[in-house]
Amino acid sequence: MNQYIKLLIFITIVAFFTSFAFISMDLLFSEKIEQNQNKAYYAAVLNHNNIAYNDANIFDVFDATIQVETYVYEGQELNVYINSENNNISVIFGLFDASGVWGDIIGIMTLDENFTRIINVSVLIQEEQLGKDVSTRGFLDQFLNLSLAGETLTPVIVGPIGSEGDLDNEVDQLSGATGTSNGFQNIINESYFIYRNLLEGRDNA
Amino acid sequence: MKLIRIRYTKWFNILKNGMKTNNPVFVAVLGICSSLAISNTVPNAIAMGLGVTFVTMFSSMFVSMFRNYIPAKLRIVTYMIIISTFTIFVQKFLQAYFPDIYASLGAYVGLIITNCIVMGRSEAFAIKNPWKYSIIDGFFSGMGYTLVLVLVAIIREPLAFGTLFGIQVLPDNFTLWASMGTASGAFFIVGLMIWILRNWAKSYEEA
Repeated sequence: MNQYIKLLIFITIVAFFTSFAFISMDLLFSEKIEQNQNKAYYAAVLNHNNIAYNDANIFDVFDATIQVETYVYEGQELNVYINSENNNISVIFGLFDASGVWGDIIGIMTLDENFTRIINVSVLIQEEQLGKDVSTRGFLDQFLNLSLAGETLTPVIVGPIGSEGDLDNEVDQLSGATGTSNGFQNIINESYFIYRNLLEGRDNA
Repeated sequence: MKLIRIRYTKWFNILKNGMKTNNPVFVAVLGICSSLAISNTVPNAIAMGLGVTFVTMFSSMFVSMFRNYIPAKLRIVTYMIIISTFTIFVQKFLQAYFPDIYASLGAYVGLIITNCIVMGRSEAFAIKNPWKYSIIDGFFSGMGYTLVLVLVAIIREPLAFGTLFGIQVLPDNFTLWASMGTASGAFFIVGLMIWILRNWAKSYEEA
């Protein structure tokens, strides 16, 4: 019995010190980590809008050129980044159910103000294995200035290789990564409808 | 005379063990998974090597400091908790101050927890030795791992990307070996490295 009490005391002490260490680490690093994450998002938004910046002035340039609006969707706060000059809309995609084969694919998508055209897409976080090229410009450049079929269920189609151009809203899928390609199509389309509905709600209000 | 004396000190033997006689990668063949995945570029290899070294050093030190209080039944669980605490520290540190390296190392930073070198040194050395020797053992075991990782990366990075430390070192007309950027290419280099370094260390398997 005495032995079990000693074990219990040991576990309690270890749990206490480990929790203390984790809380301390969180306090020490969380602000800087969040800043880095924001920096990556801001850089993608500025790049999509062809706005020049450097590492030192990125936050100032962002504040001066991009307007941030926050909406609530299913209890989650969503930021929408609007270019003050031409009203292009940049949004974070991949925050909901849709994912690739191995994990979430998260990035920034910039659309024109009427939601009829994709200006640019960047993938910032992905865990794909066979479909790891989903974050490369070779794949993503197909989305530059892509027309969207917003009135259909699939505004963007990631179709079989060679089909790019068959339809105005179609791009080639990744070679050897059909699952990732289908996942990416779903992510883009799902995000498109979520943000379009949110912003239409704002316009109608 | 001084040099001869150094050769018989305990810390020198620990150094020799970690770097050569019992090198975790080319003698003990531990930590191979991350060696294959992370040795594609030299900066990645250095960052991973330093991360493993830090975790091995401090987890060995803590295991050694509290070895008289750790119940035998909870030994392995306690190692895991100590190792995971330091691994999470390394993960958050890289995420905060070296986000590019953190992104390229991906899941492998978190997987330091499962690296056999860290657990191996706690169980084989730290639990039986004073903390000042355990920290030295952790440091040189980590450095032995780093050494192999960097040597492999020095071969792989130019062949796969034409660069070394991100600087172009091979001419534009050089045909890059795409396989050197993948784990399959790394198998060949790590295999060759084990052969060469085992010969250098005169570490042969008994027939």
